[in-house]
Amino acid sequence: MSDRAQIMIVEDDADIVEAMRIILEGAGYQVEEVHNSQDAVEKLKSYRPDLIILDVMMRTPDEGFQFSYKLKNDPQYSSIPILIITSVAQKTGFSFSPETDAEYLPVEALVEKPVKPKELLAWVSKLLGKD
Amino acid sequence: MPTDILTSGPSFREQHLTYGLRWLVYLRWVGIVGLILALSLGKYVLNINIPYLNLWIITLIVAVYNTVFGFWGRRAEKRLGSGEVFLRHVNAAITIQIVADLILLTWALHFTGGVENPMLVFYIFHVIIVVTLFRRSAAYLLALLGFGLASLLLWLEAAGIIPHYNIGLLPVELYQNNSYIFWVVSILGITLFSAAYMASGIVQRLREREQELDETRQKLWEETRRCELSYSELDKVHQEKLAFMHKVAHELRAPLAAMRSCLQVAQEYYPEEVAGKARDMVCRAERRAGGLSALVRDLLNLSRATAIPKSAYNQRVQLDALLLGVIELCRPKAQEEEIAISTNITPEVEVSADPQGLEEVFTNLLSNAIKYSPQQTAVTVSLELTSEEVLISFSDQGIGISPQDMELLFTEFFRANNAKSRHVEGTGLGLTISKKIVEAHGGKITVSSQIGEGSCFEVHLPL
Repeated sequence: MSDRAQIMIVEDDADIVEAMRIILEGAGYQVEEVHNSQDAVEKLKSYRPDLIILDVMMRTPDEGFQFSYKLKNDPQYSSIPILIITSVAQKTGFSFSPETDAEYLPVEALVEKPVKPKELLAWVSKLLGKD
Repeated sequence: MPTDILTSGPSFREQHLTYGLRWLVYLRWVGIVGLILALSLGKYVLNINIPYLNLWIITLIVAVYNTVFGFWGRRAEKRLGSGEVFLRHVNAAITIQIVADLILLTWALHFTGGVENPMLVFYIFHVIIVVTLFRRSAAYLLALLGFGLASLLLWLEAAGIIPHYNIGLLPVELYQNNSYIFWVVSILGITLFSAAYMASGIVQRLREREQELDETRQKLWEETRRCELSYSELDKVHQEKLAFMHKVAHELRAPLAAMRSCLQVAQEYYPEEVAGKARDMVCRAERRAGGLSALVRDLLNLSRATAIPKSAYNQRVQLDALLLGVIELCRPKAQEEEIAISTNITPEVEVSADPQGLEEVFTNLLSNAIKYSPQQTAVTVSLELTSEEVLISFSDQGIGISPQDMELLFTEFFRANNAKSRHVEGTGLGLTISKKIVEAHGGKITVSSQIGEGSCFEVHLPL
């Protein structure tokens, strides 16, 4: 593993991926992108990120939730922190806090789209334990 | 309006006939008691010599079938509303009883003196009963039957074919006096047919009214059903529209989020390429995209507030904690504007509500109070508990609302002129959403305001 932290973005919106890539690479992270959870599973066979940034609504309205659930229940991957970036929190009335909903959705953080560059970097460095 | 009128229950005809059946059984019990008293009086007081055994047997037969029809009638009432077949059964039951009554009355007359007995006129009771229950023709048929049976009895006795039992009220020879018998039979016939004619005239008119009422009731019931159907169809269309709005709003969010992300990156990561006027234009675009994003979010909230299921309002909510959370959330914005938030919050207030909905309402009202207040003023948030309701109020020393704006305040997309001129961004949906949410809780929002002095929004929630 290189000394630069590896971040995998799982997001089907190419423009959002591009914007995040510029922000994250500008801050010195290495970024890999995939556009759905199936590709993410494939990718994870040969690649181990330090953090996963995950969208929720991709091919299905809760693809991201399903994927995060699967990862967190697999000992091989459960230690990888997940940052969910979504507009779904408003839609479903689903409000997330790690204290109360960790059983239901075991991810480290859930942020509403769009995330401002500074906020995104703050979350990333927090989840990577650099705070 | 009584609901039984509106349900398609038993028709008047059915109710009327079953009532008639009960009435007939009741009258017959009265008749049986009368007969027992008359027989006892004749035997023990007046010492009239007639075949009492036969008469007791007749009384017993009447009592037996009256008991049977009494039970049958009570069971029949439970089948009310089961239509034509049921009606035919009740009709048949009444007819059988009345014909049996007439035959037994004739038989009893035979043992009690025949032409000597003034009880000959008792046939009239049945004619009248039949008029009230059946058609006019049935009454004539019954008058004919009564007349026939009486004539047959008197003729058989006069001809000596059956014996005559003398009760000693009239001279013995009379039962064989043909002209006397002719007169008695004629008067009886005239009485029975006249009774049938007169009574049926009155009943006919009543029945027409009844029919009209029955038809009106049926129409009313059909109309009500039609209204209910139209309402449920309308409601379905409304729900579909809401779902569509929800979907559209959500579909708009994704590209907006992408646009804003790209514009933010352009602003912050390319200071050389995006400089000067270009930077200004990108900033403007980003700000407008932000406004649009807020509008879409409010549209989603609006559809959510309208479509939220009833069950969501039944969660136990610690209001004071919820309110303090909202205040903390708004505090940074208030500090930016140098606005002090003072609180007067009753602790431990719990209500049944939708916590997310109320959070939305409180956030809306508090951020409005902050947005429309000049610097270095105060906003007061209070939570009070009375015996009937919980009162949450947000008062400010802001720009205030004019009386003409007050009326439109809760209308979609309405923004007061003095609000727009302050260059404060807003979608014009916040108060509409808040009102819908509070009303869905069975509560209301009231406002009092003075231009230039401030406004006070009060949320009343029932306990």
